[in-house]
Amino acid sequence: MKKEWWKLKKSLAIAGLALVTVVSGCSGSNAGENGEAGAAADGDKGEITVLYVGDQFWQDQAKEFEQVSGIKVNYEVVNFTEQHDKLATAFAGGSTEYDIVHVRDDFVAEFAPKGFLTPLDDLITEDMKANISDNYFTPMMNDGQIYGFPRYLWPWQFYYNKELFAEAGIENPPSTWAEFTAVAEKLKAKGITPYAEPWGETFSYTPFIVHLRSEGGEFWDEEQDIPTFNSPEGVRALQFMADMNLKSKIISPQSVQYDSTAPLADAFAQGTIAMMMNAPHTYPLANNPETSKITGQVGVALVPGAELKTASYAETGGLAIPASSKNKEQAMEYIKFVTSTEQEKAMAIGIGRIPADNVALQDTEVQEANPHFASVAEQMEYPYGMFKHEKAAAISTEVSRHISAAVAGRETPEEALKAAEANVLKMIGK
Amino acid sequence: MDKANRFLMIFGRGREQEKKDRGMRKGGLLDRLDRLSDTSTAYLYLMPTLTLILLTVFVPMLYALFISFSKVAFTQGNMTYDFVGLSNYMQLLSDARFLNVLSNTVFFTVTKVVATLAIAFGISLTIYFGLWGAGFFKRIFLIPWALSNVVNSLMWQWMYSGDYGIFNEVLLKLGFIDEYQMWLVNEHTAMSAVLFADIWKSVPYVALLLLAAMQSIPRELHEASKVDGGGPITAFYHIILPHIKPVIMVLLVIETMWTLRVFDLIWLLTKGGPQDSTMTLNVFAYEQAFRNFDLGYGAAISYCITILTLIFTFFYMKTLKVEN
Repeated sequence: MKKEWWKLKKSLAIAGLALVTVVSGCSGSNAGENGEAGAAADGDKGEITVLYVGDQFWQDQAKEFEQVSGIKVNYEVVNFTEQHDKLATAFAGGSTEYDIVHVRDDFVAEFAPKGFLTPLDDLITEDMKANISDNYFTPMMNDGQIYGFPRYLWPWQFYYNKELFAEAGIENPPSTWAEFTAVAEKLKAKGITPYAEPWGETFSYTPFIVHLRSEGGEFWDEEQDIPTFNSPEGVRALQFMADMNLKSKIISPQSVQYDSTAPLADAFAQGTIAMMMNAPHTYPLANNPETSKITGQVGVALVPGAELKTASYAETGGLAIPASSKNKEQAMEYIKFVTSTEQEKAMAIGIGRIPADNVALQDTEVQEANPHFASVAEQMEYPYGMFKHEKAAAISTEVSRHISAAVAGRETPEEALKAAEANVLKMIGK
Repeated sequence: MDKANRFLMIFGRGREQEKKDRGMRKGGLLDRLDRLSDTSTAYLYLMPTLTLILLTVFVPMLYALFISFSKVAFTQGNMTYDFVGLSNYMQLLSDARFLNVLSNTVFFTVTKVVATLAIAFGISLTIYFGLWGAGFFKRIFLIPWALSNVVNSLMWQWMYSGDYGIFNEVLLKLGFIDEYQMWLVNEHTAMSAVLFADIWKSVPYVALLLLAAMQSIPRELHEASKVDGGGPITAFYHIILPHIKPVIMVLLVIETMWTLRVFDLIWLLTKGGPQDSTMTLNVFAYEQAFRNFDLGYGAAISYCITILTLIFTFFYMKTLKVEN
């Protein structure tokens, strides 16, 4: 009997312990907060969690900040293409995990109206803004407030392989898309894969925007908040893209599997394609003997034009503090550090981003390390801005699905743009 | 203890005396706990687990059900709910993509479960009967299962790559293809490619359970069968199959549930594309909830998966007629 009684008491104790564990687990976050507060009061300068891509430069920069400030940085690496969804799920779930996140134009447009980002207007000092032109802040703003602090520009330029051009007897890069086709035909005749674009199903709207703009069209009417891509210019642009694949066959068949610019830059650096449009990081990547087979052969030019001399696509990369962050003060210290002129210079030299800081951009050392920056100013005189909308992710995916269908010949350009427009209008309730 | 004392102890006086001896107050907490029936005691033991399940499974499920009847909006970082009744479910039924997504889901589930069970059956029988290759299978067949889902997905992503994938290289060397194919971005091959990767990972677990069930069959049955002149086919139909039927039922239900829930593999390999050819309900729910930020609609789609699971389970139970 005693044994039974002992068993009963034991099971009660286990049940009680488990319940206590469950209950304490539920209230764990509060305990953590108190613990952190206690640590901070003891002279600890606290810690922040940063979410961004895993390039060594960014991680080293975070370590440098740690040493300078005494604030511990937990650097969480995320693949760039997964970043949006990671943020969306964290924000929707009310996560307080991140203190610093990377944002670009469309992220601000999507997350700021929902209250997921902290307005930075009162936190940004005049000193911090001194070297940055207002143009850089505009993509980081929503409803008149700043939600992201800009640190670099990410414009597409036209890259070509000088050695392959010489092999095909081509002297200069094409300045129009018509010239481009002729150049591509010459390369193809020499057995060289002439060109590639990122035509993956979530990203093909991006090269389409460039072609659309060079034809004189635009993707979105921001005043009326409606799509404008289904236009004669849009049809011409998409027809040109489809023809590259179905008619002249001058585009790499691999294009349909590129869902970002990174694999495209790798293919270019491996010498498997002769031309492409890509962001400025391509230059150091393609000139680095560790990552490239074409060092010293990289040519950079304006993106070819049609109705317009040229047109491009550019993201503004910035840093934001989630509204749910519990370490806003430390997060702001981080922003201040990594956007300083010195760090902006290091970024431009180290990984070829175009710094938002004008002093850093004009620095001789930066210009020497990045000769491709020279044509950026002219490129930026023509349309380049990123498409922004609160439902940008869903809209761009929907449009990309139809662009991909058109370039593969499953839909005509007219059908693709008409269907995409109808679905987008439904999506935005118009 | 003689029978009389034992009787007294069980039916009252002996037990009462025992309590008195241990100082238990009549009507006190310990006394009341001691009087609990077996069922109540069982519930008491289960309480911690049930509490955990309630908090981590049923509460979110009820919350998702509530959301599926709401239009959710985010303002100032907070969620606001607007009750819309069956509107999200009606929207789903009228969604032009829904039928395709549903048929993809059913196709993916049925093909995967049937193929997995068939292959796993073959492997487990090979090992059970010690046929040719049994030793080889024994040593390697658990490897795919040991890989994490993400590692498995990335591995297949590389193997299927149209640039450098080993899958292409092997098929090219064997003469099955003339040039590298982009398996994951071709709407005619993407579904098969994803299915192959998922089956490859699932087979070991199913084979392991089937083998365990087979090994629990008493040897005497096989010996008796042999004495009666039965061969391996007779043993399979009259001994193995009836014996492992309950395990097959459990595996069918579990595999169906797991397959209906597959998300990471499809998301990492194709994101539901190309042209929705690999879009299943789970990926569709995620896309609507976290890319379009329509949480209500996403929750309604998730409940469709639950309904589909129940339909499959009911079908299995009816077809296999497994009792208990």
